[in-house]
Amino acid sequence: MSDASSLNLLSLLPEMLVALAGLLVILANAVGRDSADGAHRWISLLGVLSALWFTLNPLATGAAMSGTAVHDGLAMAGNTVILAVLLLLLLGGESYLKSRRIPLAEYHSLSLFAATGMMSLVSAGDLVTVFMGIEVLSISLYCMAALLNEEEGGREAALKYFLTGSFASGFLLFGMALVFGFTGTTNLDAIAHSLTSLDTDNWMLIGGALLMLIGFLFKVSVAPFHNWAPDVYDGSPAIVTAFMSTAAKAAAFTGLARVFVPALGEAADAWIPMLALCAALTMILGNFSALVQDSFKRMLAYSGVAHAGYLLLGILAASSDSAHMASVLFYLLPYALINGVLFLVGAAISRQRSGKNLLDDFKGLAADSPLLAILITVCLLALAGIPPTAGFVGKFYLFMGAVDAGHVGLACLGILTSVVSVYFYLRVIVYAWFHKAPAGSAPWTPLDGGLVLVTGLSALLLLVLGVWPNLWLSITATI
Amino acid sequence: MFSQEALVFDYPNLIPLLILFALAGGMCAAMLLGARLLGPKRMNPVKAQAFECGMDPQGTAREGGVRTRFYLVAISFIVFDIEAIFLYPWAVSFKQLGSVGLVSVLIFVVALFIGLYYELRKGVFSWK
Amino acid sequence: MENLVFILLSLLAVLGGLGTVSMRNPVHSVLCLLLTMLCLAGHYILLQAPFMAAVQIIVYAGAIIILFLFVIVLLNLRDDVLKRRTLPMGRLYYIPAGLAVMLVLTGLFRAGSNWISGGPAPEGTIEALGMELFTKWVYPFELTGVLLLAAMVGAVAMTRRDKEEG
Repeated sequence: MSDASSLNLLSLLPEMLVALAGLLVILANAVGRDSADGAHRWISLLGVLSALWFTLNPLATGAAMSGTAVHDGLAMAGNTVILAVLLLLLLGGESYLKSRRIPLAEYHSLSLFAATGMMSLVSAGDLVTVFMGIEVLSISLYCMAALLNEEEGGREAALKYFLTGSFASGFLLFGMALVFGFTGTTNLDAIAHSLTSLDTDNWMLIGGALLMLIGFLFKVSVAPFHNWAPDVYDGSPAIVTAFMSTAAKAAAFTGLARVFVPALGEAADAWIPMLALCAALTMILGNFSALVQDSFKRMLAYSGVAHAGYLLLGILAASSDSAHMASVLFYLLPYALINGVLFLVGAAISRQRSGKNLLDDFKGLAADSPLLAILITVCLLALAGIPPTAGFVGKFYLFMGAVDAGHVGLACLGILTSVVSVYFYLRVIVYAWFHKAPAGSAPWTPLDGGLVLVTGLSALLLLVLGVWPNLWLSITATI
Repeated sequence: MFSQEALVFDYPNLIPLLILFALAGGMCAAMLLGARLLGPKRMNPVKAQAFECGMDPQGTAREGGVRTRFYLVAISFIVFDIEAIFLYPWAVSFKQLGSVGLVSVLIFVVALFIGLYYELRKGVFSWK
Repeated sequence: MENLVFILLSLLAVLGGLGTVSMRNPVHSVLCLLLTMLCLAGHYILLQAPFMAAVQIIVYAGAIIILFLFVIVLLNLRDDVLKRRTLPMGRLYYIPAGLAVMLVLTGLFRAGSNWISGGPAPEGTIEALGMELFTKWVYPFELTGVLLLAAMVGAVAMTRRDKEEG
């Protein structure tokens, strides 16, 4: 039943390293006194860096653990995005964690556990692993959202996140049960295999697929299941928002792609109409809601919803030709980096002004710290999809893929709503460059060096990938 | 490995269990019902009042409030309840599973043990 | 005989579920949930999975229900609070939940009785469960460990204010 070779433990090294780092953080916190605070960061950093190394240079690939995990190109790309976000937050989030008095050991260990869940989700070979990965990442994130529960909105955010999240998990599990009932297996490969011989026009299968889809769409905040996202993103600590709006979304999207495109691909007729409808609704609702926000965090939250819509186009394209999966994976990296950086920088900037994450807080930024203003501008332009940034290339691939797959209308809608989105991204840029700071406001104090560093690196990476997209595309296209 | 025949499950084995359940349930019901039917009931307001050292009671009984610390203990209880549940099937097929099973259970137990130690050091189980 | 027990248990389980969502007093809700869980344990026995039935009773009917009651006592809700319908978004979720129920029901009626292609599971006994769990399903099992650990750490992190005050 289980010889050692089918375990293929070495391919799981990145997950194991991250989980081990989380365990060590707890142990260090329990053994040492509070003076060991610096240790948490170093342990996490070491764990993430080594995991990233073994993700990009894997010792072993392929199916592992009797087929419950599969390390292919999809897993590699997903893991890279997740670990890159973790690294970004570790390097750039230190001052935020200190200033808000977030308990460091708990934050670091929970984020590492959440990452373990995400990584096992993107490399899942079985519905059971998919569910366990989602639960590990969700439970960790619920707790992380509640780390600042003394603050206004903090508890509400955590509770909303928990309620909607567990609701979504229920849908997901129910759908999995129906699919298992129909195919008699939970292994993703075996499901795909059995669907080739079974009649896919069956209500159990269709119902199961749709319920699972609803569960996933909740998790990635796609309209009409997106209502929780703005409140949760707004109320959670900025560094947690930066984590869940990027890494968790990337993991959930990769998981969605893994379950639907290869495994349930034979039943695509059942779920494609719903996915297309949701994509259209998401792009419209997300972008138009973002137009009217006064809060930077909420604006980014709605923009995140809109981007989930664009990414769905990629999934739609991949369902007709799996080569288009690369465009989804390609876009996840710039999307995750930009949002990770912007939530952190936005919090740091707002702290020096109103403290309420208002768009107005950006007024007059360029006069005092032009470098930071330039970096933010690059990030926002990339989010808007303006060349020569990676955001443009990513959107281009996504929309081209949708056209290839015959969803011309959706692609047009994507382009039109992207044009709308330029307005609210530009608004921040205009505030930063062309508005004066309100009278009597103190001059800016320089931001934490680590934060500026990761912002700079991300902006640089966005430009580099915008000009040479093959650097990252060659990794994502190996699937 | 193990024969399928050995796994065949028979209901008659469960009949003693069923009788036990019925007896336990019946006993509870009989006692409650008996007390209600046979016991004398002469209630008056003073008698129904909660006893509070001869003082008039203030507020409701719920008001005392339970501190969140108790909740942590309850969570820990569930965590280790689940751990014990997982250990049971491992213990039953311990010999067939061999070293692979041992290692996987050890990882699981050690991880939770570190969690327990962490809770201990955080003062979850200390009452002042 | 089996069918009779099945129908009886299912009816009780559905009644318990309905009671859980419709009772005003949260303690009554929890007791209804307890009924549902006990009936599910009965279903597991019918499905020839006695270990799952035991787990259902020990973990769910025992520990989880206790935890629910704990939370209710902890929240210490007054009667006037309970009379209000609190969750404003709550009603929105009726729609997908109702859709899900409809989907399943139509599916059941359309598919008839012959929709399960997997054979009966042989993993009913504890030995078989142990063999499966620690060979084929080791990876999800270890993830459970991470999950439990995260829950412990998260619970401590969320209640840490209480510790500082105490």
